[in-house]
Amino acid sequence: MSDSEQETLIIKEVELCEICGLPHEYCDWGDFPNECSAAKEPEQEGDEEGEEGEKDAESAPKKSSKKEKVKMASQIQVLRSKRGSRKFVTVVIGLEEFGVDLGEAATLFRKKFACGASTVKAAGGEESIDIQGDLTDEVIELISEKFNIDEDKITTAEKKRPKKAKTAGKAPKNRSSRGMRATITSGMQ
Amino acid sequence: MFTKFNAATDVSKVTLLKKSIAKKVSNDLVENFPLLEEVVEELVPKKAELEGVRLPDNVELLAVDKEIRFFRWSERDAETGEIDHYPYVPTMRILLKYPNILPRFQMDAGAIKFVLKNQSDVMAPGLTNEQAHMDEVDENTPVALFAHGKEHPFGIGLTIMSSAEIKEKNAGVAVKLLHVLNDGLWKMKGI
Repeated sequence: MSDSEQETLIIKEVELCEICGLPHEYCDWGDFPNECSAAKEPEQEGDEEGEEGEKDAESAPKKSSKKEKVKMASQIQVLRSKRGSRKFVTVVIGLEEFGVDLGEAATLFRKKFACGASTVKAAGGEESIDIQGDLTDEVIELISEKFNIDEDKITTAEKKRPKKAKTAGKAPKNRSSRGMRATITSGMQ
Repeated sequence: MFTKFNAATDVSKVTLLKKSIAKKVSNDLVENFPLLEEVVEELVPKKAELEGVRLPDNVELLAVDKEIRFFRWSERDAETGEIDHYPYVPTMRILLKYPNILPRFQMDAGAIKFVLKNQSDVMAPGLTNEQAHMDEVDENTPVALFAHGKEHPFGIGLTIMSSAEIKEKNAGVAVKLLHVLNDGLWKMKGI
């Protein structure tokens, strides 16, 4: 059955859903199954009927509710991470999802708290704001006041540092990067 | 593997890899996934900027020009204490584009819910009924997970038993789930 070497490579361009980012057939298991199906149906109906008045009336409220729900789902994380043995950095993640310009927010923090604050690009492509000092409570208060964000949507946590001691202890004796399992290569034939 | 992974907090280190590694990586890829030979030059260009991203639990991602394309992980052998590197496996975004580079494991439609939503491993009965299909593979092989009635793959797993064994035993965990749509790695756009 697995004559994979004789087969030819299939190349497909898969369309991803704009709302949940999954291929359309898997929308049901995504983050927003209801929104995805809701978004599909009015489009089809609207195209068939083609009446402007109805379209506007239908699509406008649905769009806004979609946005609200996205907002409901997103959260702001305020993390406190350690720097050195007795210094802290407050990390704010997820502000941009509430339509806040991160650069401006950082400037605001800088002025309000009289300390260093900057936007930092994380490895996941997301940007966060780093504020020098342990300012968790103050930041939450300021965010909720300034940007009209419910305090319930702000979560706090200690940011855990990657365990360095563990990886150091696991230093490989024989670092053979070609140490592939023989079974894996043989399995492909 | 990436169930609880969060790109914003869990990346411990991003290192720029040597250019010469590109050749080795592409050789390994062709060796493990022969069908990739045509496009390997596209996936891992010789002059591309390669970066390794370290994650917890000895998982490592390979990014080509800031786009994450492959992942691999290593395990310590319980007896000898040596560290075994598994080969690079393409991410879902690559697999969706080239769906037949991995052996096909198709399960019945009822199993999607558990794998995609709960991120559970694939149990043998889901792979042995009438709707299902298995390419013949040995244990410890990365496989593409498909579902009955769906066109595209939705996950990547590692077989725990060979396909013959799965048919014979028809019980227990058959495929360990590695990577699935909508998990932490899928949501990670780039570095």
